[in-house]
Amino acid sequence: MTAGMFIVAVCAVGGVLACVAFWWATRSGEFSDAAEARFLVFDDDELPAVREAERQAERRA
Amino acid sequence: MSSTAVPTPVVYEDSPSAEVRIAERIEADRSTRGPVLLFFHSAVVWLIVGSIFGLIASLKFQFPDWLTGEAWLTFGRVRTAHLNAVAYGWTSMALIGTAIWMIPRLVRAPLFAPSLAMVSAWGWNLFMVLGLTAVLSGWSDGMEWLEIPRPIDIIVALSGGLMALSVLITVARRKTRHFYVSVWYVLAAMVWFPIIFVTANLPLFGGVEEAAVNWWYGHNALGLWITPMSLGAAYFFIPKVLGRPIHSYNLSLVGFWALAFFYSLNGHHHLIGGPLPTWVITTSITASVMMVIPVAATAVNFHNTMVGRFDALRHSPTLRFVVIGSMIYTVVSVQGSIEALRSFNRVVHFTQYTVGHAHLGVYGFAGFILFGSYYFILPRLCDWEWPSGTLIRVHFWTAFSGIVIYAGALCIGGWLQGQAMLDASRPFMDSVNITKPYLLARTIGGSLMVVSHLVFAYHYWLMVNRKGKPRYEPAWSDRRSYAMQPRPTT
Repeated sequence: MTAGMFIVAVCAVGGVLACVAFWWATRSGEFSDAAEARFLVFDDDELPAVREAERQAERRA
Repeated sequence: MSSTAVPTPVVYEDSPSAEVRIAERIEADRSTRGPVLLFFHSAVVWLIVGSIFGLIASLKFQFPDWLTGEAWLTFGRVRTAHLNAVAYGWTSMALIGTAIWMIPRLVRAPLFAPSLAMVSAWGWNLFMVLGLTAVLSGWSDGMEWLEIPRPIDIIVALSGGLMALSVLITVARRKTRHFYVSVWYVLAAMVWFPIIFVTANLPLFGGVEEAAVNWWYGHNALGLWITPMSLGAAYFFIPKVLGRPIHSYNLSLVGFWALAFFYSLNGHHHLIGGPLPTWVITTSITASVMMVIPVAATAVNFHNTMVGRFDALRHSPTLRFVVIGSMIYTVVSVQGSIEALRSFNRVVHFTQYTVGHAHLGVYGFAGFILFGSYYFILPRLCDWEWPSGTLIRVHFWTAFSGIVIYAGALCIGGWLQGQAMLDASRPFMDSVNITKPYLLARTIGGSLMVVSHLVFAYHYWLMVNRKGKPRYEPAWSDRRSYAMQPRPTT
């Protein structure tokens, strides 16, 4: 096996795994114990507005 | 009689009242104010110092006889001083300042022993002064990114250790159950960087091994230090300014682990054609190509978070700098993956192309995210709005046009230079002469960047000294109120 074939083979397998990981990451729910983690960036006085916007977006979807 | 100590269980308060959270945030900001400002002040000074050295080095391509009478002003030393000033002085100190401001907010705990971080900042400055003096006087370890002599490196290892200790204990005292993704990136960088820095500085390697360790470190200084710290900041500021959670938290973790796995193997693509075993180089090329995965994860996540809100780029300097920096991250990373392929590398190795690529990464990606971080953090630390929207615009457009001209010219010129070098029928001087117009463009782009830094430093000085009229709205968005831009807290 040449070095070029090795690179192509590993990248092809890695690419398929990456697609599966991306699909899982974007389609599945959050980690069961980390649903709140993505809100940690917001300070408490910002949170009500953020959550309301999230709820409206979900309703629209 | 001995007794067995029972550890006190950690009590997490995930849903305290708004008043408690605001009080915690104020306390967190108070605890970080001194160290963050010291790191930020120092970083701006090193930005100016490094920029001047960079401009001198670039001008020497047009005026090769200029400043040749003094050894410390010759190209080899000035260019090395530029690299170390901007990589360790500006970029690293600004990243640390940003990180120690973010972490206490994200874990809802004040910074542990801010005096440790203050000592760390002074130590880091001592390292920079001694290191640049050594390099300019001709005392160097002679390896790229590791030029500062080992005895002086001990100072930054100790300083960095104190800073990491302060941050790690702060996280250990957290009041949140979860880690936001920015905390993942910052903590990982603070573990990875000491490992690669100390390992690369061990006096155990010689010959080819030393070259291998040199580029393992050189690329990982970008990949395991500057990149995760910068991405941590981007993951903080983009949702924060937009008032919208990150699109997919899971995807951000896919990106984190893919970066952790693949980036550490990248460095040896710098030694393609060198006397290393083929499998080492091939593994490195493979990992370099696989870097497309974490980069795509980050790009998809940021893009989907931004969708429908790109108009906000007009109104928030933080968002504009951070989003442009993140877009450049995607571009420069894909460019790097292609550059690692043997067929492409054969042309661009030893050419100006690599210089353009490196500047696009460290300046266009990390530098822009850091400028955005400054524009967000300073009003909250100083309780004062940036005095001038015009100065922010001038800063952005000179910096952006500067890096586009600089990187664009060097990538085109470097490609032509490489093709000329590979053509055995052409004299070597053809490959030198062909780069002349592109090196002039490099100086023009670099000059624009220096102008942007002088404007930024002047504006920064106005800001920290609370000059100008008091403002109650951000200066940038004075033509239209931007409701989601959070207000200063103190």
